[in-house]
Amino acid sequence: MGRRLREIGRGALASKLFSLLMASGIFISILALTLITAISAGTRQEIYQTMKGFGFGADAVLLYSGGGRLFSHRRSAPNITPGDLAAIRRLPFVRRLSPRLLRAETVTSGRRQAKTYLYGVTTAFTAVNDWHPASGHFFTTCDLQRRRKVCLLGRTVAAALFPGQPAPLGETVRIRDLFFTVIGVMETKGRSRRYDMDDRVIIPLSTAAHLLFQEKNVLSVKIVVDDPEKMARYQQELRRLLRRRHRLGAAIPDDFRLITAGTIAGIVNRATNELGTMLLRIMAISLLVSGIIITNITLAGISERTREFGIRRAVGASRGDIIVQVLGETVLVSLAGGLAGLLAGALLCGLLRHYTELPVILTWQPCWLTLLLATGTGLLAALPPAVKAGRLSPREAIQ
Amino acid sequence: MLKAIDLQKTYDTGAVKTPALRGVSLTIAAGDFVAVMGPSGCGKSTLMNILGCLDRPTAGRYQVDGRETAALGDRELSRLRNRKFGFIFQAFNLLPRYTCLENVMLPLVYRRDQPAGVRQRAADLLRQVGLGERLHARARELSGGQQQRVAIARALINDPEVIFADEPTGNLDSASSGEIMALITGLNRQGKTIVMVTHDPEVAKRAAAIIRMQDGRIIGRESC
Repeated sequence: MGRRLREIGRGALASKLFSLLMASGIFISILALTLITAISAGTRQEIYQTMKGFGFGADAVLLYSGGGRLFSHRRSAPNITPGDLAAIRRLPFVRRLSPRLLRAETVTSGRRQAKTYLYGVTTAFTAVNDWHPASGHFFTTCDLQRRRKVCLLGRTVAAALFPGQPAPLGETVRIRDLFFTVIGVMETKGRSRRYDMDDRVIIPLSTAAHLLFQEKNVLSVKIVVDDPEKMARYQQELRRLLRRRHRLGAAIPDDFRLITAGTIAGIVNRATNELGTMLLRIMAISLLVSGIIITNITLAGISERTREFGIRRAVGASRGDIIVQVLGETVLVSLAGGLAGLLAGALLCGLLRHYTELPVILTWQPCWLTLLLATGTGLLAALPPAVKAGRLSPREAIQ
Repeated sequence: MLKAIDLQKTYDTGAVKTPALRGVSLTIAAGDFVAVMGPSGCGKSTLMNILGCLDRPTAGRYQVDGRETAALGDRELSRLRNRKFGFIFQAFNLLPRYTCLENVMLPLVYRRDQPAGVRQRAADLLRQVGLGERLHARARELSGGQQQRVAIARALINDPEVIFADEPTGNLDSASSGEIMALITGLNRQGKTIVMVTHDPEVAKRAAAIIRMQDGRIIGRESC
């Protein structure tokens, strides 16, 4: 057995150019595969983390002003009226709702300033988003009713305006020409690659609507329903209500968007599934090409080695011995190419993670699969040449 | 030990069917030293390939130790070639990249059991054929005569009963030829059965019996 393995190893090393050619096809396939899998796994995780960061539970639906695509980058004017809000609140399945006005603003304190996002919200905000002040307190219904100029800072803004002050309570910040008293700093929520949850200033919705923006509509509403199981039906009811209230004729598309955790998950899944099938196709094609290369190289190698096989047959190698020899050599080379591809892929993943912001997650499960695929490809590709080599009659081979 | 009955072999090269053996019967006993002679194309190499189980006859029977080779599978025939037969070819047929020692040990790769001290035995055999100094030289670096001596050592590694030699001196100068024939004759004296194909009458004289062939038939058997 040991001698045979040695023969296989020697055979694989005998023609270094051929072996290198064979291994490089597998190498490139596996390298690409490792990279793509790692990047797609990373992307998926990032999307899920972002969703989680938004505090998007299964019982929440986000109503957004403006129609069109779900995640439109076009900023629409707020078109959800106070009447809409009241009507939604009256729906029997609505448990809570948190309306919100949002605009990019510059907030200053003395010489320091921060470009951030200003959120006008109601007192429902904390419960709906499960997000509370880390220090100080949230504003009250009283603050809301009297349009008081109070604010809560996100951690990022607090750090920018009041460095070294973990709880700048009672300090004053200026937004446009109004002065706001800091009554709290929100808990840290963290950030995803593109989006910093803590880069925001929260003020009462009424203050934002009347004193800053002169806007009586709201941009979006987060609605919490009583039973997440019936989300699909609730979504339909909400849509009907809003279409009626916005007087949209049958031919006119929605001028609002309803987003649920389900729709987001659906989009993510569809995207990752598409990526997955694309991956499968790339993998299949690249391995097929590698396989064809291997088959041809091995065939060429066998015609070159006819005499060698003849000699081996003459000294007692059976047909099976020759087949095992050819298969073994190819599998060895494929495996080496696959392993090298895997290592290079892992190395590149590490470099990508270190030097770029690409989300990369290297998982071992697909690695085993890829190695198996590399070996399988080698085995399958070498089978026809191996059988051909085995069929050579020793007499013909030696002449 | 070897018994051929009415062997026929026809090479089928597409449209043309070339008969190479047209009914050959012969018996070779243990310890015989038989030279097969005849003009080229008379079928002597074909006969030797069939006797050495490198090829199968188209018709006729061939028995080794009373067993019908037609009934044996590839594995059993391979085992025969590995253990019972040894081969010496005109073109030496060594693996050029392998060293002398590795070439001699090649038949051991295809042997299930590995007797102890095989490496020593291979080295001893190479010493016996006069290549004790060149154990680790690659086969391609050797002269023709040296290569043929390695081939003889290889033929002997599994201690076979029959040595098939196909024009063993065909590619050698007369000095080397003499050395090789001395080795082969010595083997016969040690009890090995030798079947040798040659067209050189001087070489054939060393054999105990000469079988003459023409047009795929045996036309005479004479003892020397």
